Amino acid sequence: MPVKGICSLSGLDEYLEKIAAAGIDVDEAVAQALNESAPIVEAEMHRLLRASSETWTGATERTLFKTEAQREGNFTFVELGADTSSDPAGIYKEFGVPRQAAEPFIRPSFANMRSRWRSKMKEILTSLGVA
Amino acid sequence: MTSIFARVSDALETLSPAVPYALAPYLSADGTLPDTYLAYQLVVSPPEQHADDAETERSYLIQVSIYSRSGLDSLPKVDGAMTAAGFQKGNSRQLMKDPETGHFGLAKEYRYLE
Repeated sequence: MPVKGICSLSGLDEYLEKIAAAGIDVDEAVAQALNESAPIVEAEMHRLLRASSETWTGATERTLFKTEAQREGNFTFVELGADTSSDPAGIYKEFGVPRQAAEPFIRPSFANMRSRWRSKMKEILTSLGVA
Repeated sequence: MTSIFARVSDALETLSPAVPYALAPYLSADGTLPDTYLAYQLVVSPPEQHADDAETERSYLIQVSIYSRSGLDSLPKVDGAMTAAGFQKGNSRQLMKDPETGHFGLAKEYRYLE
């Protein structure tokens, strides 16, 4: 049966005060951690795509992208995926079409690698004194 | 133990009025596709929890694609069937109209934890 949970953080104010007092640029540290850990997921996207059943032309793989860390207010993130603006092959493969099952490679990449990605993020943030 | 595929199939079987469905890809004997039908598949199934070196929890991300030649205004009540079977609703994404078959598509995600 499904379960629901609530994740909450307490003591964050105190923690952030310590970070600030130590003179650490948290935004910069998070951006660095994202930039250095995102290739883990990117590599998995390429691996899964190459393992798919299509005759390999490399066309879909050429649409894969990963951005550098970006910031919108307090939100820091990287984007990974397939740029389908000029070639929709990535959408067809990820979600399927009426006569063909999907061969997802983006969603499984995040799911498969989330543990390693988190560990790498933690390792980097720890080395930078943030975690 | 009931497989995740059987859980989905059992859930979609409860739709009323009935809608043709199949594990993707939908195949028919004569090669034609119904005007409206469902195709489901497993997207990913990562382990979620371990204890004493044994897996104790696993999640399943299922995609149910609704295909319809008449558009997406009136669709089978897949959400109700899936949630009644213990699935949690996830993202939905409109798919491009297929030029070959004339179907519009909507991909809906459901998660199951066991």
